[in-house]
Order: sequence, then C-alpha cells, then structure tokens
Amino acid sequence: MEDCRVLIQGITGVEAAAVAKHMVQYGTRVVAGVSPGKGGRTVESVPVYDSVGEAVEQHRPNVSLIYVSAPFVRDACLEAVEAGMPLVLIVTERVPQKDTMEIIARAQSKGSRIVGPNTVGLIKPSRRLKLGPIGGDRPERIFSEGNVSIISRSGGMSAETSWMLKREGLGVSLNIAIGGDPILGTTMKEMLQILEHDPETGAAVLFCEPGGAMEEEVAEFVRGGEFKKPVVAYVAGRFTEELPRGVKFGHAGAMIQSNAGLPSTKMEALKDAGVHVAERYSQIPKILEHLV
Amino acid sequence: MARLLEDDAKRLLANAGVAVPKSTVVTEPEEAETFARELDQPTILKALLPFGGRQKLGLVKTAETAEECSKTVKNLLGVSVNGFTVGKVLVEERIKISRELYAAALNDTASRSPIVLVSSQGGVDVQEIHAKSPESSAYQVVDPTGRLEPFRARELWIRAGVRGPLLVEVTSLLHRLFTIYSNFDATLLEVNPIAITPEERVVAASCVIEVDDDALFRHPELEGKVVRGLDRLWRPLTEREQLVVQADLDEPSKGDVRYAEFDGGDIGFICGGGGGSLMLQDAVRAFGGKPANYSEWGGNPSARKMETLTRVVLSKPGVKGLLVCLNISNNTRIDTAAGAITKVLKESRLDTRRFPVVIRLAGLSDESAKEVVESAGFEYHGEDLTMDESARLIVERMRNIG
Repeated sequence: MEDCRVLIQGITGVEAAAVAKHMVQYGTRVVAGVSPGKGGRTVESVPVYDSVGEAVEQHRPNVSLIYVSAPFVRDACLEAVEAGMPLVLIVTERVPQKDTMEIIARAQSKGSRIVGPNTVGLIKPSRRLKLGPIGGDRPERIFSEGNVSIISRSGGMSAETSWMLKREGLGVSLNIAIGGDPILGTTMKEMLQILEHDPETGAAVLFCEPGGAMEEEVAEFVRGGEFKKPVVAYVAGRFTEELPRGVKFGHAGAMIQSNAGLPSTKMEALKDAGVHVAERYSQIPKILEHLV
Repeated sequence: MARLLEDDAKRLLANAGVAVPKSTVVTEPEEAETFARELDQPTILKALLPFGGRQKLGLVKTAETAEECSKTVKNLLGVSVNGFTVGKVLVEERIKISRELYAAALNDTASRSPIVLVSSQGGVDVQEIHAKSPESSAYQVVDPTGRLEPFRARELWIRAGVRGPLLVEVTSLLHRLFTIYSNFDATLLEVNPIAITPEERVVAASCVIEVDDDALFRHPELEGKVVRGLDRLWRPLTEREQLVVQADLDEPSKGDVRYAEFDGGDIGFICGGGGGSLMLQDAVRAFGGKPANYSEWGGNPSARKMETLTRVVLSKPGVKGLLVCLNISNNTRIDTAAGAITKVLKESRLDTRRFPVVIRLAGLSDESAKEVVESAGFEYHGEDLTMDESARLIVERMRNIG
C-alpha cells in the first residue's frame, strides 16, 4: 500500500479506460496497461503492452487490476501471478467458479493475494490510492480520510457506507469491496487479519449479505480475540428468510441453502462474538461515533 | 446455479462410462407401458422437474407391472408442484439393491476448492448420514490446480469403510464422477444412491447435477438443458419475469437487470446493486411498506434494458407507486437509467399525485441525471436523501394516497 504501481490488464476496454482516467485523476500511479495485440498504444497517457512480462520489465508494477472479459480472466490472472504480481484485483463479473478456484490456488502458491472476482476495488484516501471503479469519477465527495476501515461484500454499498460516515464527520482509512461472488480471493476474516496490524485503522465496519459462512468465520475470529479493534456489522437481506429455501437474491454469494447462511443466524453469531450489530443500515455512523 | 433434469444428468454420466439404469422419457402413459412391457421388470417413475426433494413431494413412484406403470405415469403427468407442471416422466428399470453408497463433488466456498464426499451409507439425506454415523463418511479437499487422483479416491472409500472387490469398482466410479463434475463446470454432482446390485454391479441410481451459469459459454452441449433465471425463484418464471430475463440475455455485455415478483405488494421497486436492493427491501418493509417485486440493476445497463425493467415493474397488477433508488454509483451511469425510467413513466401517463414516485440517484453522472429527471417533470433526489430516507419517503407517500 506504500508505493502502489498499478497495471491494468484489459485497459483498452471502454470501462477500463474510463476507470484508468479516474484513477489517474485521483492521484493513483497507473504505470502500464496490457491488451494483447494492442501493444504500443496509450490510454490516458498510460503505455499499453502486449504482455504482462513486457510491462513488468519496463515499469515494475506491483498491483494488477483485471478488466478483461470473463472467459479470459483465468489466463490474465495466471499471467499476472506468474509475473510475480503481489496483489491482483479482479473487477470482472461472472467468472466461472472453477477458474476462480484455480486462480486463487495458483496465487497462494506464488505468494500473491487475489481480491475478487466481481469487486469494485478498494480505496485508501490517505495515499490517494484508488484501485478499480470504486468512488467513480469524483471519489472526494464520498470518501474522506479517517480511521475506519470498511469491508463490504457489495460494491455499491461500500461507497454508500463511506458516504454515510462522511455525512457524520467520519472518514475511512481503507474501503474495500471484497467481491460479490461465493468464492473470493480475500475473505472478510482475511481482511481483518490484515487490519489488526494496520496502525491507521481504529475500527472496522462490515456490510454483510445472506449466504456463505464468511460472517460466521468473522464471528469466530473476533470471539477468539484475534481482532481487538471494535467491529460494527450490518447484515442485509433479512426479508429473504420469509421466502422458500434455495432462493437466491443479491449477489451470487448471497445464497440461502442452510441455516448457516441466514441473515438472522449471522447477526446472532456476530452479536455473540461482541460485534456491534446495526439493526438498521442507517444506524452504522451513530454506533461508530461511540467507538472511535 | 442451474440444475439439469435427471435424464440429462444421467446422460452425461452414461456418456462417461458410468452405469445408469435402463430408462426412457415419456410424455404419454402408452409410451411408458410399451417400455415397461419390453423391459419386463418393475419400474421406478420420476417426474422431471428442476428441483430436489421430489421423493418427499410424491413425485417418485414405483410400479410392478406395465399396466401399473402406465397408470402411475398417467397420474403423475399434469400434477402441479410449486407452480411447475409435470410434462415428462423418467421411466427406469428398478434396480435390485443389496447396498447403497453415496458420492458427491461440489465447490466449497470455505476451502475455495472442490470437495469430494463419500459415504458407505447412501439412500438418505447426506446431512443425516454425516450427523448419525460420521465414521461411515469421509471427505477430501481437492487441489483446484490438479485432479482427483485415483489413490485419493481409494483412500476416501477406505475411510468410509468400503473394502474388497467393491473398493476397486467404486474408486473407478468416483474418479469418473469427478471428471464429469470438473469437465462440465458443475458446482454440484451428487449420486445418491450408488446402488450395488446382488450381482455386485455398481449403478448410479439417482443423480443431481448443478452447473455454473457463468461457465455455460464453454458448454454449448448444455444449451437448452438449463433454464436461466430460475435460481432466484421457487416457481416457474412469470411472463413479466421472462421479459426481463430475455432483455438481459439479448444484450449480454450491456449490464445486468434482474426482476422477481412477490405475491401482492404495491410498491414497484427499481433498485440497484445486489447489496443495496437487499438493504432497501428490508428498509421498505421496516417502515411498513410492501414491495411488489425485487429487482437489481447495475454494470451500466443499456437504456433498452432499463426501459424493459421499468415497463415490467409498472405493469404488475396492484403496483400503486414506485421507488427508484441506487447506492451512490461507482461505475454505472445513472443518467442513462434516469432517461429510460422517466421515458417509460411519461409514456404511461401516471398522475404522480395519485401514483407516488421517489427517485434517488447519486454518483457517476448525477448532474445530468438530475436534469433528465427534472425536465421530465419528476422530483429528483441525490445526495440530499439517504437510502433509508428514500425508503421512508415512498412508504409515507403511499400512506398519503391511502
């Protein structure tokens, strides 16, 4: 996070180019792009290469943002991991789960961290670091500097939550959308493991959804005393419990198959572990005010 | 995730060399009778519907004779469950079973890897098996970059208590099942039971396969075998839901729109982002409102997609007001959406004094969104209103029109 030099794979796509522009405007160092067959061009003054290897040789990036379309994500990620990229964020949606599992395993064996798939990225206002579309064209109006870290399964609600804090005079040290898929490179618990040692983070806010066992993992982690800073959590989607089982709403990750994934079960587990659970989303800033 | 019908699932198994019961799919009782007569054995009849738990729902029957088979098929055809009507029945030879085993492969979100699970006590619910006699079941996480090696498959069955010549047979079976699961991007493949006949034949008597919707692009052979958009529902798609699914499929690279109807409700709901929609549904209900539908939109949907969604939301009988609300947009141009929504609203000539509309759109391109909304004659809200407040506002306005 100290000195991020960003590579964007798939930079010549319309959305990727727009995001590259917003990142550069914010002050993030986008050093190179890759689009096979389009090497030699520039996008927003960023030089484009045919391969990650070439971009690495010229610019030593240490973060890669994956913007290629879903069928090509596996190849792009493996290329980034093989090139030794320590951090790879996959913005692309609808990546086949089999590919995601393979990418994560390959990254682990090479010591790389994957964030996503299906993430809008992360933002760290103190470093003017914006990785991905998070915050859109004018992040300043959403994110102000502070000591709260937001971890969200929803991309849209990660920005919204920062904005809610800003209205109450609170700011963020880090805001990360971990991705909406059921299988993710970085889980909520893994983010807390990192943030426990982050001196800029005084408290964490979690935006949670139905399905999966990520919140239950967090509860166990916090209960075990492994995360010592205050945690505020909101779990969306309680209405889904009134619907027949197996119904999937929200992200693919938000799937209710057994009791483990139910919002009420998650809320109970988090409360039991000492997490401050907001009954209503809009209560998050008020709860935080007493904690930071 | 999309579930294959059992006959399609078993065809995948048979093509890979797994023994399955002799079978046919019938739409008429006479076809069933002919098949059963030629087979000259007792039969098992399964209604082909795209969901599990069919046994408990009475959709799986047995027949001793060809006449009984015909009669039972006649009774099954046309039966309606969860709004689905039985139109096809899978008629199979009834395997003589001396022993039942269980095997499954699935994507495990916690280990972020495939997991293979076996039990030497098949035939019942696997969670029950595991709870009652954990020593009879065993599982193994498989390296996503590798495959299930035969020796690993053998070790699993040994741990579950399978020995003797059967061990070799079921190892080979498990290896084949894993290959099918992997090759077809299945998220779940379950064979329950694996039937062992008195002659020691190993037959996949019943099988469930769910495939990853997001991987269908590389499986043209599954085209037409899975119903898209069904994973969010507990019943068949309504006509309006089909319109939205079709609009989404028509322009696959132009963002996403999703729509699901509730019974009753009066607030049309055009809200966006998975997480934001979940939160808003809870908020509207907490304030005492009744959403008529669920929806999501994002990823820069085209104007056409948003027009279809709006038309569909407004056309559901009983809708008396509309909430349009998106979290602060990161990368979706909200002016495009605002244009599409207000265009359809204007065309429908609704009187906003009697049909309340709350529009809260903030984020990327909100200055032009404001202009679009206001020039169409509607009230615009952006950062002046939180999502919670917009939920409260629509509920209040609905109350005021009585």
